[in-house]
Amino acid sequence: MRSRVAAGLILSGLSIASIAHAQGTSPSYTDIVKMYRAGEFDAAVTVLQAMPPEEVRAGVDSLVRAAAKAGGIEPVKAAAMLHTEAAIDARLKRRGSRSPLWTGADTLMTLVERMDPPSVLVRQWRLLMTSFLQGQLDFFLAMDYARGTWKAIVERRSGALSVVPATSSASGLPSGVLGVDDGELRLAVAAIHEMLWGRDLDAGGNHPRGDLGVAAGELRRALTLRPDLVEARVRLGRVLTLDRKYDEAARVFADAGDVSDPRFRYLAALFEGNLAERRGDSARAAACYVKAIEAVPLAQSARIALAHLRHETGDRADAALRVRALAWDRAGRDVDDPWLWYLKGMSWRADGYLAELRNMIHPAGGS
Amino acid sequence: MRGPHLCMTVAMCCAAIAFPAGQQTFRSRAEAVRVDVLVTDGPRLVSGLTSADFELRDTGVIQAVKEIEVEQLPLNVLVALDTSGSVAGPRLQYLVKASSALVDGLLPKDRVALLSFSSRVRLLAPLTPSRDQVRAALAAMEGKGTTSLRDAAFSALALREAEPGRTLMLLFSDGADTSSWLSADEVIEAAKRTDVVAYAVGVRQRVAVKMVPSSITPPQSDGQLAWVRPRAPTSTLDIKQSGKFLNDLAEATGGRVMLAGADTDLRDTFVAILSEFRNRYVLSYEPAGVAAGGWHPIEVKLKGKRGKVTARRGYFAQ
Repeated sequence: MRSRVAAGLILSGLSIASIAHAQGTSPSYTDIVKMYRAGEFDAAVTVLQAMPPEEVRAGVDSLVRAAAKAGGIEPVKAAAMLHTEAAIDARLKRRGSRSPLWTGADTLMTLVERMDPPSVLVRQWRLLMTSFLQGQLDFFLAMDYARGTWKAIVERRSGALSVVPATSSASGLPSGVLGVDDGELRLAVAAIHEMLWGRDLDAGGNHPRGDLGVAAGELRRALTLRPDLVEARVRLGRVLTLDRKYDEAARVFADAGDVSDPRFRYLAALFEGNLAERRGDSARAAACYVKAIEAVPLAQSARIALAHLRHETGDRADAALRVRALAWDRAGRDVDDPWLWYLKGMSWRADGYLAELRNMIHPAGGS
Repeated sequence: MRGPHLCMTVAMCCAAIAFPAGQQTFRSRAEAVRVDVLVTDGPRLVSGLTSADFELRDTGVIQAVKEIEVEQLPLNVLVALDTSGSVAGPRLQYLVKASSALVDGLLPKDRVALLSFSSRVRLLAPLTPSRDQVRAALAAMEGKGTTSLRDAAFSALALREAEPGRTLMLLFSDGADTSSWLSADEVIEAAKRTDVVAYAVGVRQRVAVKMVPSSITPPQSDGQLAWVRPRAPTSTLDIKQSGKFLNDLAEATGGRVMLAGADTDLRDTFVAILSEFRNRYVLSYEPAGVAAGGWHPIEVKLKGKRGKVTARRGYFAQ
């Protein structure tokens, strides 16, 4: 299945734009939002990206005024998601650049939040944004979205909020649905801290720091809120191991029990093996690495971990054989190794969040 | 005395006898220990030395050394190339040309293996006398994915075959490690247990200063993070990160790090490494007066001669 967020959006809207251009007309901003609401997601994104910025701004202002007057929020939700997808697509095509589409997405979603609190759509959108930005290694913006602090930035840079209906809530995020007491948002904050901690370690302590203690605290809270959140349990075991809290880490892995999802079974076994190595239990470590390999045979990291363990314990013939086998393997692909997506925080969830959000706009399904 | 880019290297190698496959452990007591040595005077390689010109201490004890004729020993060359996304394009083409030139410079008795690494480590050609196999593998390389530099370095170390001869690892990377499972310390420790001499190659590159928030602690009362200039540019940090690992690896194995001025210089750099490796000295001794097993620090000096000697700092004996 093609990864929409990771691989970019399909440019199926070119024909629509071409037809409109050939007819001497261009779809209006309102038309584009209608297209998106009708489930023509990719086409709407393409046409929006081709629209001159001043027309987009005028369209947004018009949409917001209409919403304030009539109280209709659905077009605003659709427009917010439309801008979000366009911004993500632009970011993917021009890595490192910041698109003005971000501002439109932030502004419109802030409006949705104020008109319709508590909004499940906004919550899922925050998760989409923080997941996507973690995958882009844009840790600080990812943290903004996880915490909901993007609003503070929006309020300073956006004039559109001046037309927010007087009845909307201007307060902060309600707890429970949108606030900090949300398992997945806690998980997002913890993942960013863990990622930054690793980068700081690699950079020789000369990088903005993540805090393993904060990460562990967020993960414990996430598990209190969502005991079924397997990723939080696996990350907690890993974070505690990195923080040298080995006994507690061992308890977390023991509590994890049998994990049904092979990706998390792989990661739990890989991390538990590393914990065992750190504690000097080579036999236990080897058993864990074998368990990880059994969970995802094509992944490479556990096979390297086991080869390294053999090398370290003096069995270099076995280490050489294992390295030869793993490096000669032509079947393995990057996507086969859960370790590679674990390194990018929650980015692997972005596609799922986007699908859920599209379904909220157009329940019949996407294009 | 010290050239800007020439640090001298001494490599520590195992006994010259052929061990069973994978058993190339360092041994003391009645087992010869081989030390691969580079001597330079500024940018110039120092030639014409004999074993009598060296003083070698094993665990602080002076040893009786003899010199092995380097020409008699075949080379095992492990080429490990970064083929991550940052290498794609012209750089990859220059890398292929540089590697081909290296292969062209090998003697009939030498063997070569080719690994590539991005998100995964791939063995494209096992240690082989066949130049055609390696050239075909080079031509098929493509650049994409992340950089598993440390995993690749370990893989090359582990692949070292227990054949007679000296083993050179040529490791090219142009960026930071972004996806390895193994830590730098784990790989360096593994390196101390092999006789591979690692030469790391990078490309000098300009870096842009990037503004990043100073921390991810809760924002100020106005909701904003403080944007400051980091202590060093982010991209420089990435270079430093991989640079430190490569330096440590080279130091641990008695090799060195060489930076090509540009992609177009890669060919000359690769050829220079092979030439330099052929012009090193190989010293051999049977450890005497030292305990068996464990870590043996070694120190190599010149006796009454001008020049800088850099040696592997020790070896593990089992």
